Amino acid sequence: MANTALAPAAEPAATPSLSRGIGWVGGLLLVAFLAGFPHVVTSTYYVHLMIVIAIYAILILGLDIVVGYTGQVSLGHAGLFGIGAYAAAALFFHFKIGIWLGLVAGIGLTAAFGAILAVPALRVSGPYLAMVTLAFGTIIQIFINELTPITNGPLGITLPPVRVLDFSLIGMQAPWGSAGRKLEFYYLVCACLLATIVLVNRVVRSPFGRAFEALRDSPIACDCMGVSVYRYKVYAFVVSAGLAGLAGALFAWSERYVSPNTYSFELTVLFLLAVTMGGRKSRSGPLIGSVIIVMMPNILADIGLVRIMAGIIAAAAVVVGAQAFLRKRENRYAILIPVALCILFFPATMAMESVTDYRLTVFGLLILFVVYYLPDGIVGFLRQMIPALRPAHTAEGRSVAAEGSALIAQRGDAGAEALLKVDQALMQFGGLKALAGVDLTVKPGTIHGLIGPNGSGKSTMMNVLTGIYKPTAGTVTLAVAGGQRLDGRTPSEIALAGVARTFQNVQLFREMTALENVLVGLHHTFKGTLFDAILGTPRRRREEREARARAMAILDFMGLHALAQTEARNLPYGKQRLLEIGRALALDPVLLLLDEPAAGLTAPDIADLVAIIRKIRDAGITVILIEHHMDVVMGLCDRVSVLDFGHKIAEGGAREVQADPKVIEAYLGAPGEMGGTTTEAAHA
Amino acid sequence: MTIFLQLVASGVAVGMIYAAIAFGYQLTFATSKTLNFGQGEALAVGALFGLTLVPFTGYWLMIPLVLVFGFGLGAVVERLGVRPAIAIKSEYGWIMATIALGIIFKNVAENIWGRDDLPFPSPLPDAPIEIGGVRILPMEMLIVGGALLMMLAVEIFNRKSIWGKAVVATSNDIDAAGLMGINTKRVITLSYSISAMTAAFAGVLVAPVTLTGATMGSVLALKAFAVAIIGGLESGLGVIVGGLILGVAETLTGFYISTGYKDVPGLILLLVVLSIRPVGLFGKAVIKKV
Repeated sequence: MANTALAPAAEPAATPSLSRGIGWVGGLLLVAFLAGFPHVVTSTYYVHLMIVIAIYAILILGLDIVVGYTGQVSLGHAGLFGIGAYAAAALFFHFKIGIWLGLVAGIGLTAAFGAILAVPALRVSGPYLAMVTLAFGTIIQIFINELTPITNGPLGITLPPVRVLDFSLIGMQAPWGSAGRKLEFYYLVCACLLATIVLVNRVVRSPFGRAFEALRDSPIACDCMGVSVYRYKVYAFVVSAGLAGLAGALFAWSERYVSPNTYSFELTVLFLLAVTMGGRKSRSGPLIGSVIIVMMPNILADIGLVRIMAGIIAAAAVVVGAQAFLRKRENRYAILIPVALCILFFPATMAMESVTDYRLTVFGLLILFVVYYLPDGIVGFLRQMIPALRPAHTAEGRSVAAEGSALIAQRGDAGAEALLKVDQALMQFGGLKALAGVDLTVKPGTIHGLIGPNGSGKSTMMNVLTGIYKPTAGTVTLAVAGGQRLDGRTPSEIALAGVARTFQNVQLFREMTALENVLVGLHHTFKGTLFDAILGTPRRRREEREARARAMAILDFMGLHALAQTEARNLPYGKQRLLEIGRALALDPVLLLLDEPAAGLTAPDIADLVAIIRKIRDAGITVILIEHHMDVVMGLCDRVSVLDFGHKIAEGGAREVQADPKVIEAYLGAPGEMGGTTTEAAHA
Repeated sequence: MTIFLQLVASGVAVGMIYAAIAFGYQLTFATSKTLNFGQGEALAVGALFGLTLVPFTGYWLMIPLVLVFGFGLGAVVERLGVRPAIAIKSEYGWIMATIALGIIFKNVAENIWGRDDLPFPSPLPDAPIEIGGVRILPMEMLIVGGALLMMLAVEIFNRKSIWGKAVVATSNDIDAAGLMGINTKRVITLSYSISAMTAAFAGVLVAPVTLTGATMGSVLALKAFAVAIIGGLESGLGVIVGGLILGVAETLTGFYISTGYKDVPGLILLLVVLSIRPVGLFGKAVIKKV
């Protein structure tokens, strides 16, 4: 084994426990800090500031699920925040109902709106989704303004001082006296914040969190692992919206006043800044981000402080710029612009009387800075500097022992002649017939080769079989549970019916470890609901334990044991291909489709691959193999079908097909053409 | 019936403004698959810049200067916000960066021109012209004519000039265009410049019938995105149809329901179209390759 190449793999065995420990220490410090704060700093102003920070942090932790984990930009979170706030405020305004039911209503109503928002969001991503959420936020603001009977319109709603616990109901005084009573709300907000941290931690480490990350890294692969992208986007939005609603309801009671203009586009952008600046995919990042966006206006209000900070930034920029200019030859001019900007900021603040009016400009500049120079945020930067802070990928059951069998063949219907039957598949793109009525019959327990020149329709066939394309005409039948039609069903349904696949251009979940990639494949073994994940029930823990052991067994089988904790993007190319097969095996398929598994592999890697494919077949899993390496095809396949221009031109045993004149013609051109148009022959 | 026709006539003018902004979205989306989320701010800043010039130059001479201003503004947005993000292939990057630049423009404009909306002197008489019982403001006719002329000019530029052909080539296949020796980075900058120029022009067209202010563009830009979606981000003149549909829908809502809700149909339309047919009513479905 090449130790040098695998050196990083040995490390994580030690670091996760350390960083997990740091997580606990951080959590305890946070609890101690929150508990002690109002006793050390007694000023009501600062206690209120702390409340606002905690409330924003709740929302931003939820926003991180959408932005960090599913990788979508939401510009609608201020709207969701507003719904939560108005739910709580309107309940009091109309029915004199206090904070507790207000919180419940805030969470429930906002989560419902999150689900509504997810409907258009399901079909789109990226800039479209950003615009959809922006439109949503704008609509909410309009409705808050216009639905005067419910929301009291532009006047807003004023609330009385909050009463968290009502001791008069049981006829006694509050045991902590009147001074303590003022802190009841503070401690309620802190408890909500801590509960949110625990909840988000549990959700993102559950199969739900893995599904969120999987759909971010490769939506297509995610669907083909039986994890419906649609469904999990809805889950992400609902959880995120629920937290926004909780934050909104708390905010209404902490400010004791709600008005439509608070929940504006600027607030949304501020939330996004906090998530990005603090650091995505962490609990500490949103906390840091929240502190920054709440404190910033206070700092900007004090021009003296701003000048001092601008001076420090300018000095730091001079040092960093000079260092970079002397050391690095390339790109030395690229760094000059930000350095010059940082330095210019100082005289600018000296010239200005007040920067409060330029608050939004400062936020805009901060966003630009973070996007280009700190894309992983403060926490990401620290993690890069200090390895001990890196996330423990296998938070639970670190020293996983491989257990259970790697391959569980789901037998197709006994006695079925053909496991897969494709009848007259037609796939038309405009005028092009990528598949012009192809029949294909795959016998159970065989390796069936699918070959043909480039553009012959092999990958199209693969996509038709797995539901990525819906065939224009024709049927696809899989002989499980008495024969199931596959055509017209979604990729995730087909995957769950027992068809797993790999991709021609590797489609791993890049930011997840090898083990987590396989765990996404094992998603179908988890029966627990979102509540199991949030509450950490015994069922949830048992399922996680079993899945991890099984995943290790699969990695063992693929020879990837030592790389279990390595992020997929950091694996060598050959290992990535193997991992993709391992992930597909985790689906417990009856039929495995391999799309050019040997492409780009070295000779020894190919030998390993061939051995693995044989073992898979011997375990009873039927394989369809698309491949250009003829020796691999000839050595492995029990039967080979040849496609050319969307037609099946030959079928039979490997040797038989190899000798077929039509196949030779398809690959090399007809003998007659050889003399005249050599270029055409070479092209084919 | 006259009232209805009257509402349609006013809707057409508003719709053409949406079409012009949406046309700008199409330009940048075609070359680089990116959009300027600060398009509304480009419109507002263009209008405010025009307002400052009008006392010195008059309305007509102000227009070419505003076009140059918009052209430069677009180049700045592309250089600062989009190019670095394309270099690191970060979708999140350009979305956030163009939003950030938009916020900065808006904030700076608020500090220069104040937070209150300002009236924009109209170059044409305020007395409406009556055609078949429908009263139309001369300014509304100018909006329709100006917006159409702008789009026509850009289309002619794209078809006839060498730079325009480079834009079309880049839109069709950016890699192939690059291999043919077209400086695609510069073409993307150019598309941003033209896009912001269109927006700034739309700003000075719409300003005399509305009011001018730093926040005038935000909602316009969002609804123009709805128009771009209805018309299809990839398909040329679908935006005119989309703009007319939305403009008329809005004036009707404003009259028959409440002016407070007049922004709602556009946004709802955006959500509905994206839920049912993300490529737009006139767009062609793209086949994703795996």
